[in-house]
Amino acid sequence: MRALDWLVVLVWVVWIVYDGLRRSKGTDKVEGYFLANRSLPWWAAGLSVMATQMSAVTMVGTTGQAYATGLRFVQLYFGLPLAMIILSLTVVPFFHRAKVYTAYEYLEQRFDVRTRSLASFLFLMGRAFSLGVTLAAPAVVMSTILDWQLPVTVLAICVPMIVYTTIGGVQAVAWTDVKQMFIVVGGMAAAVGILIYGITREVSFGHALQLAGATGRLKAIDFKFDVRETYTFWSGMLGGLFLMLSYFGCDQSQVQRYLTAKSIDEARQSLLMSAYVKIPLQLLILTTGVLVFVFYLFQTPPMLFNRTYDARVAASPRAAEYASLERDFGGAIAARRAAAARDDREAFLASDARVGDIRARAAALVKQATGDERYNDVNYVFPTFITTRMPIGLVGLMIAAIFAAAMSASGGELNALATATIIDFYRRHLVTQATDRHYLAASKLATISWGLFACVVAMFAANQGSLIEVVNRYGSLYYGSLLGVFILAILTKRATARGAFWGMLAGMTVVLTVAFSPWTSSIAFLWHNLIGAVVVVVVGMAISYMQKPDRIVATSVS
Amino acid sequence: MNRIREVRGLDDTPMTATYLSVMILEAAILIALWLFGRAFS
Repeated sequence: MRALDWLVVLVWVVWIVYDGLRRSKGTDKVEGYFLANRSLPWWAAGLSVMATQMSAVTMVGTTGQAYATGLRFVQLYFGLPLAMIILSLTVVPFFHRAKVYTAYEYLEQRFDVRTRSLASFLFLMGRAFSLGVTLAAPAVVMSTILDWQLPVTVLAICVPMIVYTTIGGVQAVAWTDVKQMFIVVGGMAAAVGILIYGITREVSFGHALQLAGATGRLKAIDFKFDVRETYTFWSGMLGGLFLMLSYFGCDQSQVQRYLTAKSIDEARQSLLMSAYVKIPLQLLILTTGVLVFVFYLFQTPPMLFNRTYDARVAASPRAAEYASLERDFGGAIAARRAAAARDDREAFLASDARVGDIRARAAALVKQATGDERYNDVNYVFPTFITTRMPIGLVGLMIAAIFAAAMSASGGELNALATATIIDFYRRHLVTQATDRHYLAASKLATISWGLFACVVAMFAANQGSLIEVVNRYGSLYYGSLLGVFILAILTKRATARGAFWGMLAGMTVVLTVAFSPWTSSIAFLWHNLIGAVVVVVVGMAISYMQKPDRIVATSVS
Repeated sequence: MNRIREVRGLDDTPMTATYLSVMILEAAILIALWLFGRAFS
């Protein structure tokens, strides 16, 4: 990082914080603070929806995953467009007409306070931990680059984010999100340009694609039906559909984005923006990871991108073994480069497999030598490329993009956590009759408290495998159950409060059993969403039919 | 049509054409990805 790069990062961070605060007019009331007085244009709400989902985790984790396995991760999003259409037809008009602050508030209108509180509690627990992981991704990057201690990096990201979210509320979050999307897309496009320039100095672009394709990295679609495989066409279309329905329809961090829109139509348009753009955007990010792989076919990569334990391994009894692996790695890389250049497919694939084998042995050695079983390399691939291969100025731009992505995505989640805490618990159960000013002060205190909690989680989440998967795994434990209860609420007239409550508990119990039981833990996490939703609906309806209907209710079907 | 708008509300209009275009775009992307994967495997 040169001085110019630092300047770019500093200017960007100061600007988004300043501009976020400047745009926070009307936040002196709870509705302004949490819902921007339902006044945002569809495009701002839409970009905020996308930015809240596309955090720094996406930039760091997804590129690393594409480097390792190629484009297949995009299958996770195959269910998204259909999910957005379903949500536009169902929950969007319901939430808007009900004039709710949180999605869970609607559950009390439809069922009872018990169901609302349980759903909100599930959201709070899941989202609080996910927020920690969302913050951990850029902390990992910055710690590696700056050689800072992780807690220092976490605080450097958290403090500005907590400041503008606490003071500016949802408006500060939304307008920061808008800017984030522009710098992230611009940064990734710049990275792709640099990569293509670097690659085409060695081989033609067509040849580069052939090499990536030979290793299977351009095979985006896998039609095999295997519930143990995480990313297949079917897990994306079915499990992914349920994940997206749950995330965008029942997760307050997303629902709150489109509740800020002016009208039902504008809220729909804000969701449908993701339906059009999300898959192409993910392909851009994944393509970046694949191009980093191709780039390193002709440039010498480090044996391991995560150099955190270099000194410890060098000082350990396994140092000689590690040095031997590095020599082997150098030989394998040279052989792979030669095979790639002369277009010898068999030799190329053999040497690429050897490179992969040596990398795996090196990572295993690091784990054994340091005792850190959570050691991973995936999240360090793209940051290493940025800092060692990108030109001065652009390094700052990319780091600013990661920084901004982390802050704005986390800001949205933080704002949602505070909303659910105050609206669903504090105002509903603890202090039911107080002034708007009192609730506003409580909201700001809740924002600060959740921000500090997320900082602590982030410090422990930094090395938990591929970060993007960690977020989705956490979410999948409870998303399906949340979706199930909203299906009961919106699509059925017959479901009763008791059925919804016990159905939700049954869904959570089954999903946790499936996820952690040794017999079923091999089932890929995307299917947990489907399982949870189905169990809630089946158990909820069964219990509902065993009792008299609560009352006549309106549903979106009616 | 006016009656439908009256019932649904002025800010709640049918968006069938938009939904169709979303599905058509996704189908096109899936086909393109499949062909791309086959071409470079």
